[in-house]
Amino acid sequence: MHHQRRIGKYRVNEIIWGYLFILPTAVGLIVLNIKPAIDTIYMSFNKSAGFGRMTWTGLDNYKRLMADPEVWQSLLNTLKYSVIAVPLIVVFSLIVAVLMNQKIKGLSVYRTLYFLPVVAAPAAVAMIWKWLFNSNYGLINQMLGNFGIKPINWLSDPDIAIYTVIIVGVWSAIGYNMVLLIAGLQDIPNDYYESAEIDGAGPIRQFFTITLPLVTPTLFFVVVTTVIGAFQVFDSIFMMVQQNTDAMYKTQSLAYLFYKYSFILNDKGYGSAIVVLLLGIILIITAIQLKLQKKWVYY
Amino acid sequence: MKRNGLLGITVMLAAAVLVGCGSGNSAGSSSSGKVTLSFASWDTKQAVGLRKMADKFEKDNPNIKIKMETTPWDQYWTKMEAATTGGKMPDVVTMHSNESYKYMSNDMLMSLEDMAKKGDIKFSNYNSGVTKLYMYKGKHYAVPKDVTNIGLWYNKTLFDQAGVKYPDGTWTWETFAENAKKLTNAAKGVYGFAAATAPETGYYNFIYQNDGQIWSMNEKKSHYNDKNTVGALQFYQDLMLKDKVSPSAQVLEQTDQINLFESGKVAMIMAGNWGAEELASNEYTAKNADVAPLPKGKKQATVTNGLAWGISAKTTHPKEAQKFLKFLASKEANTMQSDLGVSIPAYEGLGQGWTDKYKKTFAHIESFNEQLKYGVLRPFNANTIKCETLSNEQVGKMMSGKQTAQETADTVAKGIDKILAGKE
Repeated sequence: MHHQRRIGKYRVNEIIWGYLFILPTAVGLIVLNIKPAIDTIYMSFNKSAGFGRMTWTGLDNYKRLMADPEVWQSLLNTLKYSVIAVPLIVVFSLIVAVLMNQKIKGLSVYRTLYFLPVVAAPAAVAMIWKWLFNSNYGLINQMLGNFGIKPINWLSDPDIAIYTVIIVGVWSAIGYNMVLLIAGLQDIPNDYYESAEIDGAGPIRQFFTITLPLVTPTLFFVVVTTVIGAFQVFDSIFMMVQQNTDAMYKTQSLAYLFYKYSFILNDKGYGSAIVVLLLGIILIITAIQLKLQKKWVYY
Repeated sequence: MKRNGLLGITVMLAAAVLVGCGSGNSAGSSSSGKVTLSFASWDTKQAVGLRKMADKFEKDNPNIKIKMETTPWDQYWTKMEAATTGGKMPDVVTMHSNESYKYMSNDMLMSLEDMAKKGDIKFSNYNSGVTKLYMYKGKHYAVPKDVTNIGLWYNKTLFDQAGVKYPDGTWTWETFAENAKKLTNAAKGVYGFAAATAPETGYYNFIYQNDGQIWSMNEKKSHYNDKNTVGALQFYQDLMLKDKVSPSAQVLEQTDQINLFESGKVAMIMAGNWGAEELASNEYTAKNADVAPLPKGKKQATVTNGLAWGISAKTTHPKEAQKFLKFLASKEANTMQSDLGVSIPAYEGLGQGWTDKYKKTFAHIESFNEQLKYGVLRPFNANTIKCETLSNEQVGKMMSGKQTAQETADTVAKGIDKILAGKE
């Protein structure tokens, strides 16, 4: 009896300390993430009059959203961006990670170079790219000009702008994923490679039979976060493509459309409805990925 | 006992976090009895002159300090709305007609009727058009700061090379298009004009010159598909697609017309008098550029607009803010604004100082003062930004040849009617 009470007291103490330790993070999450998310969902059922004032309009914003071709075009743009950018990011990150996992001279220099885009501020990066891609004065068109290629309107041709944004997106995402994958690669025991070598497996065979299956847990994480990141693409579009143009119409993502309605047109209610749609899509896709992981991830 | 201690720590931690979030709310009065007023504006070039005006005020009122908060235009309104929603609107703010309606109709600006009654501000001193922009339900909410209009800036060197006479007040649309053709040398990448998809510094001017309408302030209906408006849009589209005197829409989307003008790629642009400071500080344009009145269509017209200064309705220092606004509204401050080259004051009859300041660089800078007599106010209503965004999107499509002027006008007119009806 006496003995049991002491254990109980110990348990209670432990629980309190547990809660105490998660408190700072939990408060931060609630104040900065969860509360605003709930507010946004609430706001999507309202028409805002500015300065936080609003009137309840029920499903009006969602009805308008269903009938708005701009929303569907933006969804299409977002899907196009994700379908092209995600595989490129994952494949390139993996290739770079494998190359950076070799024992070669100046390895840390290369790793730093590849990681640099992650450290640089996205807005600054986009500004530089914007100048490189400028059709009149940009370095890229100047270089292409040397080969007799006519100037390309990288950022203002409605059929091209989205691919330009994808190039920048892929370029800036590789570094971060590379670091994650290198960590995953270094967890693979060297013995496997030694035995494979003795059995006569070449580097390509080794990659597909040892490296790839064993790095899948990290790869899974990379794929999930890259997909979410791709669906939320905003800053490169915002910084590089001119607003209110046809090129923007064919490039803008749902996240950008949310920004346009919430912060340019001051229609926060409708903007919220757009971002709730985006949230729903990301939730569904992430849920599917979690289900599918059993088929290809080896723990 | 021990457990209580733990709970105590928990509560304290939570309290600390919450307090941390709520702090920083204290207003700008320091213990010495000095009051600090925040003064928000966006133009960094103008801020230099505005600071000198604030210095003068501080000298006369040693108990009040003016803290200038200069935020670039692109973030100014986002920041202003967030600050206002959070109850931290700057004490004295610069207003623009795009946004003023929202602030006036939501009671975020202090009514200036009391100050007018006391004789601190005499609204009849200012340009009547700009004064009207900052009135809501018959009450004044801001003091007109300046009055702007659009002129035809041209590159003298490119004109000389093409053997074309410099533009003057006598030019018509026909002379304009004809000479623009002569100035264009596509092989060299030089164009006569930049037909940018810009409302105030572009197609609005042609619409007004053609006696067309955009939308009216009081009606719940737009007149965007008026046949004169369509005619003006057609002329504007032809400049680019038929006469080919302008860089393509796709080029203009990427490079601002001012940049093209500054690098000698276009011979003429439409830009406001507020551009004088930038064009004078650029070595190339200071040497090569001058300005003329806009060409004449059915009549002469230029888009006018004006900024204004207002006081936050929730300022913690209403007396001091009013004192500062009284100074900003005064003849003394506006003479400074003019002489320092900040802009042409809305205070009538004080524009000479501004003209004199730039006269040495641009011989015909007085065009801006002359044009004021036939200036037409930029369209303004409760949803200016929504209407203008829609207009720009559609005109952009028209300029890249995706739709006709008539289709553009019809789409915009229908859209604006929907916006004005509160459906979008």
